[in-house]
Amino acid sequence: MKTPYVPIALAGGLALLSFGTALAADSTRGDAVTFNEHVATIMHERCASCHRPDQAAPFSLLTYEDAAKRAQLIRAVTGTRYMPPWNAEPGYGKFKGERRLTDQEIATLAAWAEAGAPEGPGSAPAPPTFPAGWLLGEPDLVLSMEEPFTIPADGPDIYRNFPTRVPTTEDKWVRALQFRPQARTVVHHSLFKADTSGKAREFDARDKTPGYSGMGPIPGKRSLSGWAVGGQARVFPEGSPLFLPAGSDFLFESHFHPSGKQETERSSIALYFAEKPASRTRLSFQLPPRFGSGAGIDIAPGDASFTIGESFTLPAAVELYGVTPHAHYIGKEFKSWAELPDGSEVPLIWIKDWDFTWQDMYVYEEPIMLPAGATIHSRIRYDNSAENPRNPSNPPKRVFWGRQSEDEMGSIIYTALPANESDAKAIREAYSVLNQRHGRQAKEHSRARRAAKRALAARAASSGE
Amino acid sequence: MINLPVAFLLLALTSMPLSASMLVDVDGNEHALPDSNSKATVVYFVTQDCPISNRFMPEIRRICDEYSSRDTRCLMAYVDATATADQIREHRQTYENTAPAVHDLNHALVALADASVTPEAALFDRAGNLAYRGRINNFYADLGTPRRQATKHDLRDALEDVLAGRAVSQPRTQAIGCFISKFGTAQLQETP
Repeated sequence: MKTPYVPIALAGGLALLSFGTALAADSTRGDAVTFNEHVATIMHERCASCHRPDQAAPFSLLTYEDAAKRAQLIRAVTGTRYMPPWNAEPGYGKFKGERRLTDQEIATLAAWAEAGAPEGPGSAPAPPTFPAGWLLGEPDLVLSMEEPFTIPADGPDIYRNFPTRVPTTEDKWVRALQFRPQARTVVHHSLFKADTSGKAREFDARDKTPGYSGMGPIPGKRSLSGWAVGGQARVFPEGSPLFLPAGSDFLFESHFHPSGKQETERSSIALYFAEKPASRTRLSFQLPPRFGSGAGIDIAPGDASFTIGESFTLPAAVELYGVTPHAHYIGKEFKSWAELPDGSEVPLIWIKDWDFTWQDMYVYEEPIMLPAGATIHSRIRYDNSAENPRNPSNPPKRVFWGRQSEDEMGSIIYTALPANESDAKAIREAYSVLNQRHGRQAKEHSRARRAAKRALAARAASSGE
Repeated sequence: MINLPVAFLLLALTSMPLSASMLVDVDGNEHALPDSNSKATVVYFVTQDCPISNRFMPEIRRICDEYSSRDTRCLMAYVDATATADQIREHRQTYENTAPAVHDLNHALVALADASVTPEAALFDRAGNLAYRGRINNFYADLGTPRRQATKHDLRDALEDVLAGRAVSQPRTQAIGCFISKFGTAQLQETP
């Protein structure tokens, strides 16, 4: 009875044995992993754009000493892929500026730390040089925050908006831009907007210190993209510059994290104007629309799998240019894909562990062509459990849709160009139907939300007696 | 790697309780450890360029200030052996930290407390027993995952226990931060 199993067991044992040997051979790679031979190139190519003097990163990773005294830290943060920072899943959409190490590079760094971070014979390749000044040459206009803002040494993260007068007397079209923070260790991201309503300036005037906090509504606010730590200059697609109306305020919506010492920030932005207005309509739509205000966000405390989503079928072909996921602190997972008329699926973006502090627009390496009849799906999951360390409430509270950071929102913002300019109107009209339905749902949800909040307040009051 | 005299020194330091040793801070002042004149001594392990360590500097200063009137002493231990005296001086000025600072060149204090990351706190009682070692609080859930605010204040809780003469309920916790590196310590081991 037992005999037939013996060869199998033996084969299994042999397989295990050879697997083990292969692993060992791989991790030691015949001879030792050294800084000069293996690690320096990874540091220079993958880390040094931020980890060099006067950049956002807290320390440099250029020399042997820089890296060797942090070998264990490097091993830990690359092993979990916390560094380099890039939250989208590999293989699910191909994006510009992806900051990812290969599995092989991660294994090399781990083996190097394991071996005691040896320098190795010879010398390391020379560290890369980086251009000084603006990356795209002399800008057409540089705007700076009107007043410097002081970030205190300590306390929770700060979200603050700074309107800055645009001195141009005529409409402009922005073909490229580059953001430059001053206090690089505390500026985490900044989203750029154009405000023609004057509302942002009103909010600013009401607030004694420079800029203003909160997410007060600004009618007709236009997005001008944004920047997050590690970001470089941003160039918009040919024929589709961004509109900057005359007399508008440029708005920096910035996120700071205190560093332990007081810092002063005065951000600047270099703008490069196109000679001609946009010849192609820039389409922007959200799934679900309206930042999810009509998606019925009402998340029970402890619920780790509350999910919203929406789908939109394109009446005409588009070139999908980029996606911007948005939620607040307890947003956990974003997934979007397109279902083509032939039944095949195109992955668009997948973020498994959403981090509110890494707001970014994900721009495709090559625009994704979606034909007429393609359906774009979005799914957003929230984790309102106590186990979610990003949960701002401890213990968790019932969470509704709202503008404050303890409230939730949720949508994926898609930026696209119509494949044929003549289809722009049809695409907008099709989206408008969905948008209006969510507008009606938002009103119903808003009533339900107010009733629920009244009930919660009444219960709190009676239990307090 | 470790030569004999240092091995003996480490052995001597790690076997508790302490025979009194004298620490010399960066200003040349001497500090006994243990110290019969204080109820408690907190050693904070820091590095001058670890962002997590730096983000804790205001809380470290607050704890030092608040507990100084309660017979509690505060010592900073800079553990990067490659740090220069200028870097340490500048760091203390930048973060307005006036607590005595020791440059733990040979990692004697690291070994004594078995510290592994910065920032990390080691709390010694009057007799020199290591009553608590670990995180200052739970502001960081993981590397790159700060909470909105800390919800557990382990070091303050441990201090309350020690000052009240109780056993510390949670004597060891895992700190989140930058791993302490031996880099640069070997070349300095000739000097005892």
